[in-house]
Amino acid sequence: MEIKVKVFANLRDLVPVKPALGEAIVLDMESNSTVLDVMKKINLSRNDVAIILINGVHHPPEHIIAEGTSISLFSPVGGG
Amino acid sequence: MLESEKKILRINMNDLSVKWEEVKDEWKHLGGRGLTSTIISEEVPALCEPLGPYNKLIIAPGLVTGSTAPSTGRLSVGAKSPLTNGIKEANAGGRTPQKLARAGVKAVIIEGHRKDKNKWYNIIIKKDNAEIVEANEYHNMGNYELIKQLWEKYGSKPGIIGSGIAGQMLLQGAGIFGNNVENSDPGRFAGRGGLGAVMGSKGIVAIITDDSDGGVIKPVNEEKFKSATAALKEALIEHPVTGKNGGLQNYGTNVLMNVLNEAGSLPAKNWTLGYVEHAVKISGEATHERIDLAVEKFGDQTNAQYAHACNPGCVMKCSMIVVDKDSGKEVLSPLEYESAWSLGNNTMIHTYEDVVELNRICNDIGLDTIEAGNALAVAMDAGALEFGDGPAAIKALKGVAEDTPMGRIIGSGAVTTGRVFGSNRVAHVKGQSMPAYDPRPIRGIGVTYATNPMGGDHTAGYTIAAEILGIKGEVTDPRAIDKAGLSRAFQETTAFLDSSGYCLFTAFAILDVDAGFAGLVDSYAAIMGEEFTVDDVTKFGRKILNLERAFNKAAGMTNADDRLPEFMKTEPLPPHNVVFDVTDEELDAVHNSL
Repeated sequence: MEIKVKVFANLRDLVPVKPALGEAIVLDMESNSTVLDVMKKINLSRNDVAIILINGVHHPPEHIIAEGTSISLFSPVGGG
Repeated sequence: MLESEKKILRINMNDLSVKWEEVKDEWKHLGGRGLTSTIISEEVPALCEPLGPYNKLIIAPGLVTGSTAPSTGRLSVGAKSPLTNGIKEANAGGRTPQKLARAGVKAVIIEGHRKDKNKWYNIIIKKDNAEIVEANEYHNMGNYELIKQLWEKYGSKPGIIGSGIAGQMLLQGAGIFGNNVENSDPGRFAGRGGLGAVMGSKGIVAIITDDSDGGVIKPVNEEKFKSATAALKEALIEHPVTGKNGGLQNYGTNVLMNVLNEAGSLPAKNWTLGYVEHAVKISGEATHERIDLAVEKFGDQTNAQYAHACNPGCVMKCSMIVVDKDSGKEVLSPLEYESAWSLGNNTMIHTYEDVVELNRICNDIGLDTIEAGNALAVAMDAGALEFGDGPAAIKALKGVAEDTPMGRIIGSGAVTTGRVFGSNRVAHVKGQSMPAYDPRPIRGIGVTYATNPMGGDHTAGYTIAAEILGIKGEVTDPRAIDKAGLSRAFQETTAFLDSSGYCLFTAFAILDVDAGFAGLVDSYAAIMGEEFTVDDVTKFGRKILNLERAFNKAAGMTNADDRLPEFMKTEPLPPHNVVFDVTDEELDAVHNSL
């Protein structure tokens, strides 16, 4: 199944090919894959990722994703 | 110098006199916001006209500011706000905070009104020596030129803060600017609440602080201070948000643009959308890329930089220097999240250069970027300007210094702009417009906006740290959190931090690392040489909040002022399509249950 993942902050420098700003990486995943499986596929460890958003809602790394899901991943960030 | 040796500098504009006073016993253990709010409570009549002779402008470095502790170069500026008609504390970094402390100043109290409204003054502060000097030649001068000229005139690399053109025009959107460490930009703002206008109403262009004859603030308990600040420093440096190559150093505060946008909570198009595709173009990542490109292209001929400190000795370094991409020359320092959001995303202006130019105009004329961006967005929403039209927004904002009607309207803030153009969609609380987090999907920050004493303010109780960023444990569904309790805890801790002089961003590390929190509190205790523990933090904060709320009550505010605007309860925000649904009872429980 095809899914999309956008990576931000320090994660852009950790994935195999640095995507353009705001550009999604398109991945072909097995059905019943988790967010963690997606992270592994693009060389990200559990510790690299602090925030996982799917459709604007926080999810844990164990969340099972569906076909067509769009995920946004962030390294630890703060500001204000 | 010990903290207890600092004095109160009282400046009376009625007779242009200066007086050094010993610190009253009740004020001895206070600094920063704790001190500004206490002095206002004691000395400013709550019902006074904010721009009249009975209001006072109070300027106080934090209690630990001027010491060798990391990230303590913060300044509180307080007065009765012309924007909210309530008590106000605005907080900034820059050169002035540490210099003021090291010149032996516990607080500056500026009172009265000058007799001749055509006369303008600068105040020069040195150790045990202050004078009021005529400054008509600097009146109505842009801040970039002003700091350049004052820097040349006063050779000591002074701290400079001032009212700016907008403040001298008494506009309610005026902030108090401060020069940055290099004196290249007046972009360190105690921005909110129209305090620039209070300074302008006193006839003051600038306050110039020289600490050459002063000294570092030394702790009473040196050993405790040394180990405490070491523990804090370690927590700040090791934490992935505040530490080396962390989110703040690499991308600045504007690293939040994409987070809030992807969370569907980034206000856009005057608070009608929670996600827009183009926000990424003006994000912290975009700034980072531009800085990397400039360094690659111009080498040591450019001063483009991230991981730049807003005050000497800060280890978090969330500031940056933005340069022109064609020349490599500095154009702005810093581009903050709230500014990029208000002047860019909220106005739908996503051309990076236009957003930088709008921010630079605000810095030059002394406008609060949050208020100015919201005012522009309200004008656009009402049809007076076009959404996304950068050049038109730039022209409107330049109109402030040119004294055009549109300039005066925008410079007067979002609420005034809404009234002039007949719009009810103005995101504000107590007359002060809201910053870059929509409270409909993120309800805890809505509780802070509604119930903190300052009006629409995120820093007063930054629940975003828990609701969105996952500081202090795992992020859970923000809608399931006890919003009242969360906001209360953040408001109390913040009131303490704002009094200590520690930067609020230390919270990202110390809320996660207990040893860092203990270090911060111990350093505060060691400065005074008295007992003060982690358990005292919220009690201290509560006391300050109670004072501030009592002032607001005496100024005429009631629970009805602790509310969000109607449209946020009736207009669902896409993409989550939710309204703000925290009940009035829950809002009133934040403070009144105690």
